[in-house]
Amino acid sequence: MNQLLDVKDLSIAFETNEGLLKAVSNVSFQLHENAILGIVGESGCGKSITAMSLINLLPSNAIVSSNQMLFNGMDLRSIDKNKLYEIRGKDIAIIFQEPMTSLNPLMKVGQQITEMIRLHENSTLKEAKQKTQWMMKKVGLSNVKKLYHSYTHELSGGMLQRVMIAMAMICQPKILIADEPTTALDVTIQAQILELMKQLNKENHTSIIFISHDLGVIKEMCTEVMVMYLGYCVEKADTSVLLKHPAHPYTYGLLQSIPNPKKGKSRLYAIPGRILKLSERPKGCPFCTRCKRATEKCRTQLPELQEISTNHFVRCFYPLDHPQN
Amino acid sequence: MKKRKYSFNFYIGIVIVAFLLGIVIVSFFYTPYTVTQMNIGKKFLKPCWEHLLGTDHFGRDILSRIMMGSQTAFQVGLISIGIGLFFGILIGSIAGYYGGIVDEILMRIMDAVIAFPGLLFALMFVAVLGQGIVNTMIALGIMSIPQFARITRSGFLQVKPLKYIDMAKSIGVSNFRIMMVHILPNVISPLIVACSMGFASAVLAEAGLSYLGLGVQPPNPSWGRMLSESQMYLLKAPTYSIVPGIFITLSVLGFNLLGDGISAIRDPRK
Repeated sequence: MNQLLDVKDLSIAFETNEGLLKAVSNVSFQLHENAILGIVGESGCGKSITAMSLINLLPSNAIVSSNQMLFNGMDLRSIDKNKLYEIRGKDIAIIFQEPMTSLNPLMKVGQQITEMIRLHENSTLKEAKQKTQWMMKKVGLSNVKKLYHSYTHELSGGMLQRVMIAMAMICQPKILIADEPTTALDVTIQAQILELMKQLNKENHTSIIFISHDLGVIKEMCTEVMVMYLGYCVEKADTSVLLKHPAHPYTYGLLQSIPNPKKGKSRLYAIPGRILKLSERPKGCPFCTRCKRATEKCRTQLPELQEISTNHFVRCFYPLDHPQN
Repeated sequence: MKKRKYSFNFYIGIVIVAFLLGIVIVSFFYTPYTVTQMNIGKKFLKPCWEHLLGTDHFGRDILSRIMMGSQTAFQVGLISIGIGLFFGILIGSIAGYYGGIVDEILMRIMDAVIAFPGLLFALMFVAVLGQGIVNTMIALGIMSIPQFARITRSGFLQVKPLKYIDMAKSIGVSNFRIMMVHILPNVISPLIVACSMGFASAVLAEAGLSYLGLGVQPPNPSWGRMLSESQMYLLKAPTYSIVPGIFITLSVLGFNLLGDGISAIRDPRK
């Protein structure tokens, strides 16, 4: 499989009044053609900004540094402005979390999709319109002629998310960044939207970076998963391996936290402690304050990301049981 | 579609403005007499069938002069608001969109402009660069830039952090297009209100300057000038001064009520 995206040692910090806040530290990941990479973590762990940094969508006080950021052999760090505008949307498209607020309320829905086409393809308005309606049908919207001329407040959340997907997919991007695309939707719609994204992934061979805090959704969608905690990548593996044999205590905790109807009315599991603020990151392992197995070593030294079996990386001194250990 | 409810003020405002606009349009094609045509034998006539609003101290028809004067008033209003709107939107959107030091510099300049009392600045401007309608319009235009800039900037500050602007960026829309196509429409409605109010104050300011003899130059008719010329004959021919006074009041009132009515429509609390 071709490597589409290769990011090495990505760090992101924010300049604030209280000084430099490190939000993401030394995150590396690769995205292969046709693959779906999941990024999991609690809110504020840096999963969204990791993805946004790829096409430079961070606020101006962000400082991004990395050893490598290659997209299709092109260095994303030293790209000029016009090329960046070209990549945005055409090669790397984003679906945001809240479809209700991510579309312009003063523009017709169809116009917004058409705008995307007109920005990246040389087509007449009529062609663009036809393509828009064709795409809207493809993502499962009906009555597209009428919908084309609707405003966002006239549509439901699920419909708007379909519009967003239509917009993101219309130029057939190589990478689709889906930033918690189903968080704001109810469960039945969620299943439909996920199905739709999978289908588009198969048909158009679009690679997807799927950001979520829901391991259930990740299990459905992704081929590979990266677990993030406080800006660190704590574990990375193929989905099946990670779900069966989580090696990092945090991943284990996340898996335990998924409510299981079979267990009956037992108390739901929660990882003890709270998420730290970025400004109070511990010196050692980021998870040491909430980890049952933490030792003195964990509190003072930062564990390195080590490969415990093929393509299974974990940042922990004492990884949990693993068949090969 | 739900039917919109317009306020009482809006209706009165629109009737007055429509009436004045009607006068302007008619004056392009027809006035009862030529405005500069003097007739010393017929000076200070009371309103009669021949001269509906009477005549002035040169025997000129007041109705005709009022009609031509409305052209002047609207011309000054439109052009000065146009200048203010253009530069105000430009400055306000750049300041609001880019923020930081750019914002700081531009808005402090605007503060400096606001610090001058409007009419005083216009007086100074006209006194230095010469009397006449063009300089009057430029001066009034410059004075109205800050209010438009501030309204535009505040709208930009509100809309810029919203998700759909990020979305627009993420699909590769350029900064300029984001400013003009995605953010500006959100700011249009407060700007329309400001235009209507600003129009009223421009008409008033033009009348004031012309009254002082600095605005429109004779023999071109202007409501303010008519007012100043007529004051010497206040007792002899009261209609001569009352009529332009009424028209100035009417246009200020009309545009203010209209602005008020529009702002009431877009106020979701009502």
